[in-house]
Amino acid sequence: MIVVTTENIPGYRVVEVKGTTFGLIVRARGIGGDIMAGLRSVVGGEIKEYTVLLEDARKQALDRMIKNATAMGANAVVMCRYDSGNMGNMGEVVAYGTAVVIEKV
Amino acid sequence: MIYIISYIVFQVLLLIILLIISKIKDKRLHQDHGEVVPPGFEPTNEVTIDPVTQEKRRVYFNPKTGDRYYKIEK
Repeated sequence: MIVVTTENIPGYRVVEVKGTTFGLIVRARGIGGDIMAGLRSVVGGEIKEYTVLLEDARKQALDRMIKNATAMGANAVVMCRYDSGNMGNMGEVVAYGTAVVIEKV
Repeated sequence: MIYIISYIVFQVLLLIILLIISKIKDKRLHQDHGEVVPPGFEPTNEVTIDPVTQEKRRVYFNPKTGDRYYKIEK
């Protein structure tokens, strides 16, 4: 599965567009992580607990998007994008793109 | 007085229970992925370095199921 942020993939051509594919995840840190993050925010610097939260959310959103694209019969995703938001201490990440079938030129 | 002490003890116990549950539930994604790739997975060029643990992981992809496996590389 090739996933790119561009419209075209060099060396390949799109033979079929399957449609839009998504991967969505909402994650939260537990009370332990939130307390540590709160303490870190007092003194400043990187809040590692929330870096972990968003890194894992990004990976899980991408995993789900690719799984959905595979289920659609695609072998590549073009124009892949990420979007994120937050709800209190929860982080939401969505990965989306266009599921396509490609073949080598 | 006994009520105040009971209240404080209850709050401390509740916090400890929540911390234990949090420790069990709040795990890193793919932390069960190790160095042994299951059959059916193909290597990809996708490599990520974890921003906190600095672990390098290569992504393996199963084209039949769409699952991804994050193999730890040294």
